[in-house]
Amino acid sequence: MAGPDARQRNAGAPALRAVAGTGPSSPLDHAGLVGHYGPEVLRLCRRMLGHAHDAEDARSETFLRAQQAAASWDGRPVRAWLLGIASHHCIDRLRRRALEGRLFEAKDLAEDDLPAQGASPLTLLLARERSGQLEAALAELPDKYRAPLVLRFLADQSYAEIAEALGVTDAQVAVLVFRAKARLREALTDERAALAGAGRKQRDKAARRTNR
Amino acid sequence: MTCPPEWQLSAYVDAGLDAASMKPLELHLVSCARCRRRVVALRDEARVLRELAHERLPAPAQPAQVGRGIAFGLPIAIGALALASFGAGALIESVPRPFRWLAPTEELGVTNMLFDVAFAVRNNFAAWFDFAFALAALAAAAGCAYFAADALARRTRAAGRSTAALLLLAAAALAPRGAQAEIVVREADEGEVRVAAGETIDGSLVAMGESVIIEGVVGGDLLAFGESLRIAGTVEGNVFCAGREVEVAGAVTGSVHCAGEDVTLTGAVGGNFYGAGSEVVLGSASKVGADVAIAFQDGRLEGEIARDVIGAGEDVTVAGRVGRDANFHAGEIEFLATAVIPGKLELHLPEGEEPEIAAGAALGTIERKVLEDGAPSTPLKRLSQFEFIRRQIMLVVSAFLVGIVLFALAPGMFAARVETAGRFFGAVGAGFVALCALIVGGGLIGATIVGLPAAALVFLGMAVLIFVGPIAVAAIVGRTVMRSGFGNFREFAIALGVGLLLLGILISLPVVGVIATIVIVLEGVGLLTIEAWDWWSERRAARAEAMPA
Repeated sequence: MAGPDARQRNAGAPALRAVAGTGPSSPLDHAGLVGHYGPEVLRLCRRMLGHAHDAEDARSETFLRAQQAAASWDGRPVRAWLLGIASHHCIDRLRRRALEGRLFEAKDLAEDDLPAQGASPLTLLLARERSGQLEAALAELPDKYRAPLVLRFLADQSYAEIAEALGVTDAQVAVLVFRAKARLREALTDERAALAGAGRKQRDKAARRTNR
Repeated sequence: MTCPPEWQLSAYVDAGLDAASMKPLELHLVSCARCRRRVVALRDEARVLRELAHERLPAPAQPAQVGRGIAFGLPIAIGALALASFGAGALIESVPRPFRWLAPTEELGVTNMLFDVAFAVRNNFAAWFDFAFALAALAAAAGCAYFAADALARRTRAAGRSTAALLLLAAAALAPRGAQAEIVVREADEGEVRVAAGETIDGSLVAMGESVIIEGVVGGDLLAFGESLRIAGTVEGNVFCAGREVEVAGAVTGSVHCAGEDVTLTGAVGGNFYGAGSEVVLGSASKVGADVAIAFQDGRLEGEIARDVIGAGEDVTVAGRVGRDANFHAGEIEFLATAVIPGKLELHLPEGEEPEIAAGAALGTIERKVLEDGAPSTPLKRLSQFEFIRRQIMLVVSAFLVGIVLFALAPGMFAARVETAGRFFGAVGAGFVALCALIVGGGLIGATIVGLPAAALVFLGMAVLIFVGPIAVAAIVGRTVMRSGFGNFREFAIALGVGLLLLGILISLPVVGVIATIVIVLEGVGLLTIEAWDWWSERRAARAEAMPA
């Protein structure tokens, strides 16, 4: 399962190595790393944690950990390695934030009780142009759903890697990612309904104000 | 097997299923169109999610800014264009005679060269050239109409500015004739319209009547329509006329464009002479300052022509003097003893027909070509012609070689995927828009003399795009048919070969072929445009990311 994924990632490796080799003196030179991968790591942290000031902290922490762990760098693409460190760190933070340190409850991971056919995937496609709404919907997903989604689509991690990072099974990752997608679609569908409703509410409010 | 739950499809799309559950699912997908559609939708969704995570989504639209951008940008663009062509027009009018070759419409020269290139291309790649030309004409008309309608529609939003810009454009179009803006109209339904000897008309004259006789002087252009037309006086501008009998016996400074049953020139024309009629005669006293292009049943050239002649008709008799080259398509041709053609003489005659050349005729190098059978070849008949088959095969082979080279240079060009009908038609639309934009853009750039080389480049680029687009389509078709990828050269070459063969057969079919060709070219150009656009926006996004946060 991990085979094709690994190959895909390694396809990008020469370029990354070239970048690391030509830029800073050593591939793991701190300033060089921050320069090259800082923005991406920051984005991952922001996506994982949901707000900006935590993300800044998490980024610094990530690079600190990277330096401490430089010895354990196994020559795989620097980007994937760094994003791996960042995601582990962010998951720790999310755990700390969660009630009793537990990110997932049993019912989140259960295969049964999944919606057979919720809102259509097209919802996201249609919302594509209104990226602001899409952003907001992603930011408002519960941590437990947003984290696997971000790991899959921003850090390009495979289900197996996500499973390892979150301490669950592959199948449970599938369930989590699926729930996350479904939630996102629902949020967007609701939002559209809410938007339609909001216009009416505002008109009502204005009418009441003039009556007073 | 019943349809798998949605979460499994989602995991499948994210490459998160283990081999054991993937096999039955893929087997199911082969037979279930509904699940296939869901997989496609989920895959599209995954793409959006990836873009969302990477913050590569389009920035939220800002209506106010966009509106202002259009309101300001379009009129300014039209205005600038108008000013530029106004300037070019004025420049052309005022430059001294030796530099006239710069002016594209006035005399040949640069344009001559461009046409030579175009004809060389046409002779060697006839099928593609004809198609590109038809398509270009169609798209240009559509593009211009769209542009005009769009500009008019926006007038409500930026009424003042746009109207002014359109007026400027109209003024620019009329600029070269600005000095002689006065137009005199004379009309006589039954009788005759006559400009008597000694009479002078300062502006241009539009004359319509049973007979039109010009014995005096017309200061500008002459537009004349009537049963019989006789121009014995002087016309300072150009002549456009149509009638049953047309005779130009006087002096015309500009060019003559005329059509009639009998067309006779006995006077002097400063510019070009374009004539069409069943009998076209350039009398022994006639003089033409530039080129002659005529189409006729019987044609006689007895006068003096300063430059080239191109003529097409049934019977041709040449007795006069031609300055340079001549090109005739005719059933029979005869050169009398007084005929002089120093340059290249190209003769297209039916098979077995020899030109009659009198002893004293001074002719340059003669190039004989066999005129093809007059009967139009039917699409079905084409297939039995060796020439046609050979051309198609050459086309496929050259496309294959070019495709291989392109794959080596830029494999990303073939990365496009066409999974849904929407994507397919989207690409066709994009191709149409891209071609329109290129044609309109090239035309607009070329409208100023300064822009001519740039416009030539634009059209060259378009020709390349039209050639390369179908190659990309062929590669994708081949990939789909072979169910392979483009992992290595061998896979790509096989897919491209198979795709090109299929498309080659498809476009050679009668009737369907034409439509297929249009669709394939539009699809190809559209796919390339979309790919290029994606590549460009990704590069921009990457550059924005590389900037320190």
